[in-house]
This record gives sequence, C-alpha cells and structure tokens, in this order.
Amino acid sequence: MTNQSDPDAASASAANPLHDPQFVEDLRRRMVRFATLQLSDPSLAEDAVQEAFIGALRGSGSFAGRAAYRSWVFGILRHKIADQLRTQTRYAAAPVEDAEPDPVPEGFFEPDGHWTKEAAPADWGDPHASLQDDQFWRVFEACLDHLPGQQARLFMMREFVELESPEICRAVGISTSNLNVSLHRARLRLRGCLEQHWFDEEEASP
Amino acid sequence: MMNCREATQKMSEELERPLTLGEQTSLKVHLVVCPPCRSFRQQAAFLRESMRAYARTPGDAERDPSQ
Repeated sequence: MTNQSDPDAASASAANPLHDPQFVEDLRRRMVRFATLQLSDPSLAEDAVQEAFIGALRGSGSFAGRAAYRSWVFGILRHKIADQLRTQTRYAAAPVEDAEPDPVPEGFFEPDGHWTKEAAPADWGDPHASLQDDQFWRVFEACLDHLPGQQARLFMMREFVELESPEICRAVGISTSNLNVSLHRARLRLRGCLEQHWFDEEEASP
Repeated sequence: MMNCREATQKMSEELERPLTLGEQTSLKVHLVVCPPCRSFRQQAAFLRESMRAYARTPGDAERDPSQ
C-alpha cells in the first residue's frame, strides 16, 4: 500500500501531502478518533471530518508541506466541533454518565492530601524551549492519548477545542464541579506523564 | 490549612474562574511553604500554553524549527 521506495512518489507527496495515501489515512483516522471522542456520535464525527477535508481542499495548493496541511485541516475540524458542540446545548446532550467519571488517580496524594514522594512535581525550570522540539510533541501526544476517556474528552474540549467551562457543561450535561474534578485529574495526569517521560529524561541525559 | 490535593484543585479551578479572595489567601499561604505546589502552578499554566500551541500546530516532525 505504501510506496516509500519510489523516489518519485516521495517527492510528489512532499509537494502535495494529499498524494500520500498513507499520510492521508493516518491523519483521517486520527481526526475521526478525536471527533468521535468529542461528539460521542460516530456519524456526526465522520461528517465533521469529511467536511474538514472538503474545506481544506479549497486551499490545498498553498501548503508548504504535511505539517501545514495537518494544522490547517485539524484547525477546520476544531471549529466544526466547537460549532457542533455549541448547537448540541439546545438538545438534551449525550447521556450523563459523570457521577464518577474516571477513577481518582492513585499514587498522587497521601491519605492526608499531601503529594506522595513519587508524584511531587519537580521544578521544570523554563519548559518553553521544549515547544520547539519535535520529540517533545510526540511525548505530549502520547500523554494526551493516555488520559482516560471522559477526562480526555473534557480536557480536549476545554484546551484544544477551547470551549469555555459553561459551554462544556451545557454541551455534555454535567455540573461545573464535575467538570472541575475531571479537569483537575487530567492536569495532574498530564503533567505527571510529561515529567516522567520528558522533563525527567532530559535531566537524566545531558 | 489547605493540603496539596486541595491546593492543586484550586490551582486547576483558577484556570476556569477567578478564585474568591478567601481562596486566594488560603492558596497563597499554602504556596509559601510548598515548592511542589508552586511547580504545579507553573506547569498547569504551561499545559494550557502548550495545548494552545498544539491546537495551532499539532505535533509533527516536519514543523519549521524557525517558527
């Protein structure tokens, strides 16, 4: 299915990312997964992804490469999902199942509420240089992928789709305090994952 | 006295709504004596910043490093 040994195909796909079926399929799969998680409706998700690709076609000649294309098409999808979720507030939202959304992260705190020795955040110094590091983004993505379902969904709604808290509560049908609990847990997990797999490693290897 | 679990909860909520004066005071008092929670606060802000950057340029090996 892939054509990686063919230099012509390689240069063609460098020029136009849509000429690389593997790239398109990977991207599409990632988008469908994300849209399905956000919308809790596979057919709405497929539609949104379809529309995002169609929307992106209009500008596909002007992309510097895959990264630019990927940002562009994901950006369109993000807006479609935001619009869809905002509309969803008018209907009875997806089934409410947030009484105890995800397990309380274990090992973060002692019973008295203080950090456990393993989980206590270290000083990352100035982490901003990592934003320029491609390897950092791979770790970041992997850490996002490891968030439990409902936490991932709400955290991405808040920080990636960039809905405001009240919009999320309306769209999903949860209380503010439940949302806050999930966001707290997601932040604990995500920073823990980044520390373990990135900021600690960095220190370990000079 | 606020413990670390409560303090991190407040620091997470701080990204969602303005804390009340009472909450701000309790949090400040805790942070004075708790370096790990001070790190958490910086890191929670960094997470938000990273997510915004990620939303605009999802991780990709072909990103232009000059940007």
